[in-house]
Amino acid sequence: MLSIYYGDMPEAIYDTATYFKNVYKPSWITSPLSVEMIKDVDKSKVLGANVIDSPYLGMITPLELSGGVKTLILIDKDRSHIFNASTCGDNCAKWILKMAENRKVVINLRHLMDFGKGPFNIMVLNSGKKVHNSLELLDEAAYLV
Amino acid sequence: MKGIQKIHIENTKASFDFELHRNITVVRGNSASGKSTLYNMVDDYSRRAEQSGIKISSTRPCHTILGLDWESEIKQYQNSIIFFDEGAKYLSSKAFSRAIQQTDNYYVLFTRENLFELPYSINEIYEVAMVGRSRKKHCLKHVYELDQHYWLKNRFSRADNKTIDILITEDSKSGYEFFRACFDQSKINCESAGSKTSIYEWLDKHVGENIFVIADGAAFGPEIDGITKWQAEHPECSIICLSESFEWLLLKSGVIPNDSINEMLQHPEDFIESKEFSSWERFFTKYLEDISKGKPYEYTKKKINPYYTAKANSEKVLGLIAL
Repeated sequence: MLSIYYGDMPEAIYDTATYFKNVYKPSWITSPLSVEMIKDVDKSKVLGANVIDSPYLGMITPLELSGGVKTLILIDKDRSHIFNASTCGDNCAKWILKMAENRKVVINLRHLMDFGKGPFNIMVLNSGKKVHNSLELLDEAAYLV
Repeated sequence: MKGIQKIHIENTKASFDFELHRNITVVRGNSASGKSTLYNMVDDYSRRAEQSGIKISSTRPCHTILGLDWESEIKQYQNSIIFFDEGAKYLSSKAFSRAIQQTDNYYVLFTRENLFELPYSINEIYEVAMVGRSRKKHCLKHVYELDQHYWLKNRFSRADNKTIDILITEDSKSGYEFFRACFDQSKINCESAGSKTSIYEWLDKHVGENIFVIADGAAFGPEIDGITKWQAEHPECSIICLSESFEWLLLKSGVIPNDSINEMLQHPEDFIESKEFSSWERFFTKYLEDISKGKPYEYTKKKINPYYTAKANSEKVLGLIAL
């Protein structure tokens, strides 16, 4: 189940790129889910823990991954923190939903991310309501951000 | 600061060409589109100039600010372009709004948040796009587009259904009075939302009705994301008309006999000092008030002058937005 807190959440890690730079472990990059997310969002191929082949930037390190992918990897690997997922574009939404298929995922959003029409299972923590499609989500979230 | 600012920035891997037209520009969009690359290139140049390896061509100096001492840093710069990354939590704060208004810099903000404290235009919300098939060349592309009648263009716009049950204005004074007078004898019910922030709530309470919204595009940036998402859930319900402002419509319509108006409207950037006007609709109001003072067509924000609601004049104004 995906749980979202909309709006200001002081305990959430806001600047996810800086946090990622200082806490990521090389082993995070080569995990199967990270490899898939990097391929889909950044269109890049993981060659090793410290080398990624980007069609736009050439050979890069994990620090040059997009802000969205860094946040996705943090959500997957660092389960002791809540992250500001407004650093993720809409092209990251399906991966957030996928991670939440088999476990509880909590994120903070400060904008109306597009999760598609649904169906999905999302808990809006501000109100405690469960929503299952984009209309129900908009009804809950639009007044919060 | 006034005028269009042109920027070209490149290194061996990426290049960006874009123009800034107003004091506040917002950049958002999908992950991996190039936003961080652009910000980091400006940041490298800002710290190490030519020794960064970045080539930059800009009509004004470019700087980045991210640190906790951002208020002091902003005060250091004049006539500059300042870039803020999405890691800057304070972008949505009142303190940030106070700090950048009445300054003579232009600001580029990388964020997906709706910044309700800032009066930015829907025309200055961009995403990074590639130029052609090149993987190196990038530009900034409008996220929201308007048609020739200033109606918001998107896949939910109801081009075939022009029925209007309710016309709602952001304005509660002159603008509202103008449209109410124009549609007094018609079946169209004219109402005021009272403010731009109330429009979403107003739409949400009138689902299923044919609604025509008139708001000031010049400062509607913080609202536009919510409104377009509402349209996606309620297609065929609404037309959103976002000309710069009501006063801009009056100036554009030609009902005021003054030769200088057209020149100003062709390139308002060159007339609007960012330090004096935090958004363009405030400039257009003052401009209209100034040029009409003491004339039969004197304009005040508080009450509409019957000169504008006279049939021949109102038809010119309504024609601009296809009403």
